[in-house]
Amino acid sequence: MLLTLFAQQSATMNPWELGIPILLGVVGYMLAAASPQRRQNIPATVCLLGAIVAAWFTWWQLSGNVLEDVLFTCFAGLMAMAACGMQVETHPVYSALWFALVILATCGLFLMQGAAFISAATIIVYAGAIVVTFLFVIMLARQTGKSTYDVRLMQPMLAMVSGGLLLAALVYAIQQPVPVASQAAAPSVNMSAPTPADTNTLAVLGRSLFVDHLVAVELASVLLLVAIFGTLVIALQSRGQAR
Amino acid sequence: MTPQLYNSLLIGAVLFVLGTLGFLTRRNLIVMFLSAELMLQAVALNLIAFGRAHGNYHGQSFTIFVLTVAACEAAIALVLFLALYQRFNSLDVSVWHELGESDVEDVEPELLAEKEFFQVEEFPTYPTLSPAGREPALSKSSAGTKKGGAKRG
Repeated sequence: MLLTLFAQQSATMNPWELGIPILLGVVGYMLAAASPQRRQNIPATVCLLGAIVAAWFTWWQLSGNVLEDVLFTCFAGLMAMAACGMQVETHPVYSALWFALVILATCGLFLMQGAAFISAATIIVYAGAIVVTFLFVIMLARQTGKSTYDVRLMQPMLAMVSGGLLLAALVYAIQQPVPVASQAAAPSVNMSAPTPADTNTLAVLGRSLFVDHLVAVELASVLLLVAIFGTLVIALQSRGQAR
Repeated sequence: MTPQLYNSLLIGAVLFVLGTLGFLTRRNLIVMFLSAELMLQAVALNLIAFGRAHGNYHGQSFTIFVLTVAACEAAIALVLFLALYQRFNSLDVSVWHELGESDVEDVEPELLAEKEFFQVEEFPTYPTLSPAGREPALSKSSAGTKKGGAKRG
């Protein structure tokens, strides 16, 4: 009731609705990112969770489908929490774990939008990437305790101000009503839109990829090749320098 | 705008801002790299939502390209981190504040202090060349890494 009321008047959102979640998030992040002596974990967690809940209450729009709303909300909340945790966490190994959770939640969102293949591919690619990153962290991180550069942040105040402004601008821009001309041009409901129930998603996606974007596919393969060579060159060069 | 597209854009915005924050504030190179991946993921979320809203598969195709670029970026970034770590034994990004050559003197403060730029000095200073290339193997204790590390402290 209250939620649908909020959702309907979202085009004319008052400044407090825009500002309160952002302010809560800024306060929570400042508490969590303070210097180690003044760091307060529990109020910071409360503030960050409050920011997520406040953002859900003020910004979120409900569609009619209850199950879809619940799943979408769960994945979005999990993703936001994990992303906050990744930025607040001081140990890089735990940051990488939080990042894996973000990827999993995002893959759930992909699945909800009818992108089953993208979801699976993301999990495969990022699972490999995260395993490699893990190896790197274990190899390179300090073995004895936390290093200072993991605990102390670089200019958290300025970053918070710019991040809060960026988020406010993005949310404001998203909430603006779409101009009438472009709304008429876009198909409102298309039966060929991908849905989670589609079974031939991969076939259509492959056709789109190799018919509409053939040149881009070739360019991407060249890019991968160049990246492999670049990696080899840099690795051999640095090994020669270190010797 | 359907609620699903709107919510996806909202989630993408939040994720992108969180990634930006991490990229700006964290000093560990690996965590900065993960934050950049977070931003890429936010963009992929937006692309898929737009593709769904327009009823075609272009958004998903673009996401595959984003994934490709992310994989290339991961490979190059991690090997660069390894090379940088071998130089200074640190993942701190602020070690690399100046990527220039450390033995070339900084001319900017003098330029700012001086009023007359075009006055010819009696003893003009010439630019110095920093040593480049591999050192000849005269002794066994070569390696620019140790020299650089000692200079930085």
